[in-house]
Amino acid sequence: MNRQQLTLLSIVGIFVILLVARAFTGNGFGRIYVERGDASFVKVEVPVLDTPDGEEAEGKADGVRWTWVDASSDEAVDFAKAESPRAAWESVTPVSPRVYFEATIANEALQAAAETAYAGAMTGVDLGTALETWRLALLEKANAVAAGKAQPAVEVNWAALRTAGFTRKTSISAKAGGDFTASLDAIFDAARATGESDAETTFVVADGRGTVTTTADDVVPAIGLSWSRTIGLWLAAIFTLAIFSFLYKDNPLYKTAESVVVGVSAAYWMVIGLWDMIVPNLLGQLAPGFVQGNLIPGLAASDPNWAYLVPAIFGALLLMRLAPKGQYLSLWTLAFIVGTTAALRMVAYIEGDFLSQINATIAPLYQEVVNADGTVNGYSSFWASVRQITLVIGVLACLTYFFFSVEHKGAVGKVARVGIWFLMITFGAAFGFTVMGRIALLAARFEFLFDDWLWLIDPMNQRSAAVAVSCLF
Amino acid sequence: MNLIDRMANLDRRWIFLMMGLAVGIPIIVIGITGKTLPEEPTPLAQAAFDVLDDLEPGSRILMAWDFDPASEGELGPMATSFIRQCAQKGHRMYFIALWPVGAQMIRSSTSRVIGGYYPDLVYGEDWVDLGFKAGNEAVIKTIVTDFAQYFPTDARGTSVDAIPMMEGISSLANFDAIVNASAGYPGSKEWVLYAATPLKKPLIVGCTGVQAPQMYPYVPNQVQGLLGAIKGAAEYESVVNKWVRSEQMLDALESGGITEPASSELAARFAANPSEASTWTTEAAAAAMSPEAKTRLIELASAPTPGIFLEAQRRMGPQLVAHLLMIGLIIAGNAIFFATRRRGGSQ
Repeated sequence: MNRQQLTLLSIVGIFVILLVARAFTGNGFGRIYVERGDASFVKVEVPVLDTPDGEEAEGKADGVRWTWVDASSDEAVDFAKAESPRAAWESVTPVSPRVYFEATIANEALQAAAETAYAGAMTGVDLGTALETWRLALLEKANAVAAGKAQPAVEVNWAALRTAGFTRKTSISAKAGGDFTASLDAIFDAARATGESDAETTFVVADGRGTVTTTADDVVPAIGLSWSRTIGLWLAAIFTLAIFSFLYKDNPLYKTAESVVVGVSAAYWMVIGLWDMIVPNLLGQLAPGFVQGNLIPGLAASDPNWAYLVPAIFGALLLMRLAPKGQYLSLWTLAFIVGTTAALRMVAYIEGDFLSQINATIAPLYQEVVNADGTVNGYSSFWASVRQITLVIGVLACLTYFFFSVEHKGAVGKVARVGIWFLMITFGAAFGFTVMGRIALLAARFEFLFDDWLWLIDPMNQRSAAVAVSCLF
Repeated sequence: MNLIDRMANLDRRWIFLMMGLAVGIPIIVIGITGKTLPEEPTPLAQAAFDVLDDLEPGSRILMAWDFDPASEGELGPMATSFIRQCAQKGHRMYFIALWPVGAQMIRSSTSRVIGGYYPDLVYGEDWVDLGFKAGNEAVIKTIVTDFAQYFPTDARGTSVDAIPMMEGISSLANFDAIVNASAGYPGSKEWVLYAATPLKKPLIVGCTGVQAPQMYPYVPNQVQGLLGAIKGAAEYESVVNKWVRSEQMLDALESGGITEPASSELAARFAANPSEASTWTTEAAAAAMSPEAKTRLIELASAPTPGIFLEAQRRMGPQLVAHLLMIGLIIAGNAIFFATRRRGGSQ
């Protein structure tokens, strides 16, 4: 390893160490946060209201159809039965880092506020009033601590409290004093003395919300870091840099990234082709009952369409290219593909490219542009006419350039020369557009690196500006 | 070795580094300051907007997203603005893709725009994701006459019979316009040849810079609106942003008691120059408006445009600097070439 390579390696190494160190301190960067929840669905029979008289649509037996609906939806309330099939799983929704940061700030504010002194009067009031007074006072304190950086919330889980035997109307008389946590305990101790409740109560803080409840285990933070998505983001960033590294010189990192792209793309194409084409459009036609029952429940059931055996056989023949013998059989399919594609394109190109373009070119050289009030707009008419004349001259000159039956000398040569100029201008415009496109793509990758990964900029307002800038230090 | 020789033999990696800085630094500056370059729409971008704007609310728009992440930087902002205009106007959107990864592009752009800014739109009634279908132009050729043959279900596996907005859709002829974001084959050219030309349907194309020169000959007879590369996207984005702000302020004015045609004139005026809104609310003409309506109007006028709807305009900053660098390099390259030739060097 020579001195230049050693220097380069040292610079890259220091950069990587600083990057990793920064990623794991403070708010870090390049993290993806999600909100976890429960998704619950139920299968219900929904009446089909718009089926025409005497007509039964396929899959809509007896004027009803089966469908999965959200378990909390109106359809579920109206049509779900105890024995209806149900499905539930954990839903994961990405949230912006700002949501997580604000929840963290609110959590800290609530915990700090709960440790401050509370001086509320709790003599001769009912439990509901005492808790509401306590709640509002804590919220005010927490808002003061958060200083507008977050919106903490405080709520009382009356459903859990009622289950534990607490009622709003219980008259209490407790000694005020101590901090908010101690005062809350005093309020409930007083309520227990007058009622029959005996469950442990607690104040739980999660997701920027403080909850007074008896079932602390039910309050779990829903907003948190998603390791799988964060690793995905870092991989995307590392692969981007690996591809960029080719600009310095070819290297194993670039080769690895290139190979991964090729492999993943091939696998993706295969899976997509199977599930979006072969299953619904081939198997769905040949064995609709099987496909509906096992693969795509939403597919309308119908009788098998045996005509689809023809494409199935042609498809199988195409795979014969992989067989050691009988490769010639794949040529039948290829011949069919080439023949139909040529026929399809010939018709479309004649209509769309050839005739339509001739039609668009054969237009009056003088183009009259009329204003909304019916008068002729001289300025616009002039430039529209210039455009049309230029178009006709360009077409004729370029056609002359490609007309090789006559030697390009004299007048023909001069016109052909004009054609070359038109072609060069066209190539220049095409080059300009290509450069613009490539720069836009580079800008998009840089935005990804600076915004999603390094958190240096925040154009989407996903994080507060203060957090974004603090990443630099 | 003198300066000319050094420049003539400059390692191309210095050019890469300069280009990286020319693109990277403006991104950071624009990202921190939030300032973008002003955009004036060309007739092509305006025409793209007008085609969708002239249709009645509730019109059926086929949105064909034929691109992948590799061209998302150019076409993503166009897709975002197309959806925003259709959603704001109240059109029904039917998303399809002829590229395998186009299905992900549909999910990405709909979740960002509809999920984030138009949550009231109902899936299956206001928009539907019909997903990817393999077959390239054969898909277009088939759905021109038989839509259900290629799309028996939507991307979620729901039968099209159970989707309310699919009622009455039997072929491409049932759509009022086609919007296509295209990165190559199959894409805008195929939509022109197999759908827009035979059906005489309005077609709006947003395409990459590489494709744009190929699409210009189709304007205006076969393609009614064309957005070429990021520049076209930025122009269209600015038109849509201004229009959406105008529409929102029109609602605020009318809810505050200002009637047509004054409300439309004022909304257009404030959209063009938002600072006028707060001044106008102090004038006698605004006396009829309630304080809440005035506050709402001022908020709408002064509210910053969400970053998602400024993507293309943000990317025009790096374009400017990178193009200046390229022009400089081309001039320098030619100067070095002629200087070398004069010295009798390489021809």
